[in-house]
Amino acid sequence: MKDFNYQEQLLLWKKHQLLLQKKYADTPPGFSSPEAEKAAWETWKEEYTCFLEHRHFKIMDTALPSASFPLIGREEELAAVHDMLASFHTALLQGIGGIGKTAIALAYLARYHLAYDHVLYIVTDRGILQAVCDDSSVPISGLRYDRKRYPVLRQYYREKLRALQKISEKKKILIVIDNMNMPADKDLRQFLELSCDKIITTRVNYEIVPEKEKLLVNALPPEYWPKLIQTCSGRLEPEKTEQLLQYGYQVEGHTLSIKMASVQASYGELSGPPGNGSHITSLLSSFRLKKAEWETLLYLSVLAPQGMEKDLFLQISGASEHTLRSLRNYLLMDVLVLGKTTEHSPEDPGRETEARLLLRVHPLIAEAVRRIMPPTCINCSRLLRGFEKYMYGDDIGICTWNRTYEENRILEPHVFAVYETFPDPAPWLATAFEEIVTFLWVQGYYEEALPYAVKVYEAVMNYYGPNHVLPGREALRVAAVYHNHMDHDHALMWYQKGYELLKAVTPRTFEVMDQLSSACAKLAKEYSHRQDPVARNKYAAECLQIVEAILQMDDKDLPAFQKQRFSMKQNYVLLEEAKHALREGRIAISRELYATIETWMKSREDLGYRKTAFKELQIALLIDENRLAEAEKAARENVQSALLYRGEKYKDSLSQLEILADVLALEKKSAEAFSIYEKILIHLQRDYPYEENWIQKIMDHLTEKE
Amino acid sequence: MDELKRILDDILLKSLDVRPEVQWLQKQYLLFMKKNGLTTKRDADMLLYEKMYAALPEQDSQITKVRFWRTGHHVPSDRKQVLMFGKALELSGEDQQYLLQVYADRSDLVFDASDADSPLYQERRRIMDTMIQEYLCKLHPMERRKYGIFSEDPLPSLRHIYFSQACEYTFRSAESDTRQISRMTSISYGSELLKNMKLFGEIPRKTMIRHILIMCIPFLNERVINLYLSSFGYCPLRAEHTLTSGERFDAMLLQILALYRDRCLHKSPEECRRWLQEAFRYTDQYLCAQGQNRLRPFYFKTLEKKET
Repeated sequence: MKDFNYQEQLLLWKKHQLLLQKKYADTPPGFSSPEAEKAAWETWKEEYTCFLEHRHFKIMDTALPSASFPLIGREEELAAVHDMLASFHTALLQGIGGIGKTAIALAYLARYHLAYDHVLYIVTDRGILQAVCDDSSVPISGLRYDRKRYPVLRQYYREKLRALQKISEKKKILIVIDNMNMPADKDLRQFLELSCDKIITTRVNYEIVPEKEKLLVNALPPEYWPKLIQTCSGRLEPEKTEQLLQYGYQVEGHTLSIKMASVQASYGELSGPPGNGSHITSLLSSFRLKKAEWETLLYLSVLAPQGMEKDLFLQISGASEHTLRSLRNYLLMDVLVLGKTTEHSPEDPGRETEARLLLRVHPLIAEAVRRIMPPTCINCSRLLRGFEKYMYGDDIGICTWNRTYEENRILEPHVFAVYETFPDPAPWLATAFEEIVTFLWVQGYYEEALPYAVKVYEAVMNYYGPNHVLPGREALRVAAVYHNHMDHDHALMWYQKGYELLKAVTPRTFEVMDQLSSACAKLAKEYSHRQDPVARNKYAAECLQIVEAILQMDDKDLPAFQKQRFSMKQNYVLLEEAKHALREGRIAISRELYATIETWMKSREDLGYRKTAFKELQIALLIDENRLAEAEKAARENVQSALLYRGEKYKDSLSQLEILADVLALEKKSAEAFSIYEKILIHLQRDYPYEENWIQKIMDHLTEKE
Repeated sequence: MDELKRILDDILLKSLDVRPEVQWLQKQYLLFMKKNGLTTKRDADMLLYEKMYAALPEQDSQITKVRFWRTGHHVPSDRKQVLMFGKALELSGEDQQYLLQVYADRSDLVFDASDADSPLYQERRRIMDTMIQEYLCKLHPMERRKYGIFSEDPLPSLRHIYFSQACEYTFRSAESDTRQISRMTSISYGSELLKNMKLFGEIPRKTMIRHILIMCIPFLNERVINLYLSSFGYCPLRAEHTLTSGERFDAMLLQILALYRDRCLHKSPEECRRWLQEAFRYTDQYLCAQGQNRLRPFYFKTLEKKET
């Protein structure tokens, strides 16, 4: 089955059909006109190109950053990089942090990017393997990381390098790896073998890179310092400039230090002589930053080094525009313009107004900030709550669940940065950390999500003890990770643990009851899958009782906003009951329950993607009543919704397409059903080849007699 | 399917009429009698017999077969007899061809292995090979899997594909799952199909029409079928042409093709194929119910064995 490429054979078959349509033009399926023939071939060519793109890989261009600060005194280095790439395809810019390596790389990118078919810019604080495997920085059509498909990340790394090499054979590519500081990176050798142009900025002297491919970036020559000082500080009195030049000698021409000191000078402060430690740390300590500015700087240093888009950062961090402006004026924060790769031009100050802006701090500044103010759950609590709010959503509409895979992927490096910064989650931030857990498994990172979920559970258990809602709640979260990872035995064990913990909690507040109802609902579902009707019915009945009890609560115990949120859960419980009744053939009950759900659905316009789960039941009921046209309409709406929220390739979308095809097959609309099954098969074979049972099921549909 | 039913009813009714080919033969008889000064048809039968076998009939009953040919009850049982009969009737070259291709419903020539080097044989083989090639190219990737073909070249599975698809145009396929047809079922049709595909031996015109239908669907019309029939040395489809037993097979096919054009013009090949499949299944079922196996386009003995 693995060798059978359905799409390839289908395209060949379609080509033959077109040739025969031309040859037998006077038969009924023959082309009606030359225009019809041309259009049919165009469609085929489009499909074929799309297929080739997937088979032969294609780089999907990403927005490139451009520096907002001009490059001063580095023309020689730029020329050297150009020569190295022309001769050896590799230029390793090596030097101490803050000396100007990234600035040279960005300037090269701005000046020469038009000479390339594709340019990739990757910032990493980890190794080359993680950098290349990051699909948001190195997006290649037809390739997507999937743990099931590539159990070892290195397999994916090799596959991606193979793809890049193949593309390089036909297209001119430049890959810039910025800030790669992992010492003795054993995966680097394979990357260096790529025949495309590569620029790497690093503080590490990699021995495997030949000396002729290395460019040692030294301090900026003193003749350029006055210009650098002037650009950073504007017009200064001559004695202040002189002092700064002296400072330049003291820091041996360290560019970032001179820049920072110049900015300080422009605010009336003059830096003392550098201390024994890092210039940057001592310089930074002497900046008179406000609390909000320090906080924002800390948040930026916690986030992934590639930076975060400004709008998203504002939303998550709660920082103000004013604070960002100050940090930028101090040159402590870089603002990169995405998508407009041009050399710095002071004549175009308005270029940032329309473009997307990327905020980040220089790695040296980030290190210094973290040294001065080590990130803790206390000083980063606002950031963590910001992540929680963003991921959980302020209402049921938009949350991790209701965002597309691509939307979530933008957040991925930052979630990982938080995950790594806070290896020991604070119990009082459990709800924030549980959103990190949810995000990780929604995006398919079960291996990371699971130990973290257990850590959160242990933290709350140790801190609050068993008589609290949080241990039970977090046990349910651990169970959810197991459940979605298809480990149903462990899931059941943890659901049971959560249930028992919650059941013993007193007093029974809304939060406890709410979680307990979840535990019962999940247990009922697990036992239903295990075909244990006694246990299933026991937990389902208990769940309904709790739901009833919650609905009886007065406004004091259950505020209006909680009531509204709970209505969602209540209807999910009803949905499960209705599905169960349908499976057991108690159609009337199922229909009755669905009617209740439908009434509630009509009052909610913000259900978003969640609506599809409810409509699946509606479709099943319509099929049962043989109201196939209505079932088809509902199935089409579900497909539209899945495509909107999940995208074409997502498994949910394929499931919805399968339901639609099943309905069409029942309606005897074989042709459309067939073409949808075909589409599903193509996606499954291309994106989820390990889903062998599903692929076989679709193939069976396709080979069924018409 | 109402229109189709009307066509079939009409065909069944007309099949009771005297064959136009027999009327033509009777005219040839009259000319023969006139030319030879014969006054009775019995004398003509006798002379024809004598000319054919260079002997007088030992018994009266021996000339009955010639009489039956004249009256249309029977046709000469093999190609040799047809040719001898035409020669005895002193037919012109054109009439002799008519007798063979229209009256006897046979091809102009029969090939065997010794004809391998004949240019005409090679030309006809090339046409047959093209038809097979196009047929296999039309096989949908999922049909390949359905028939259990996993190799790149489906030619070795031609028999199985052909047999399975023939089943799909008969009414029983609508009731049973055609995936269940094993290769063993079609094996007994192997040598016959192979011979047919090599154009060896006598291939009945209706069999050749079945081959053309199965292999050319959905790219079918009168022109395409006639092109192939003529290329293989058969009489093209004619509304007035009948099977040797009198059934209006050609008229039926032509009317189905006209209906096909009417219903499917400029639709996709897949839609066209499905329409034809439905139409032929209906036709097959209707004719089977009427006991008209000779008119069933996809009916053949091995298939009948599978059905029973």
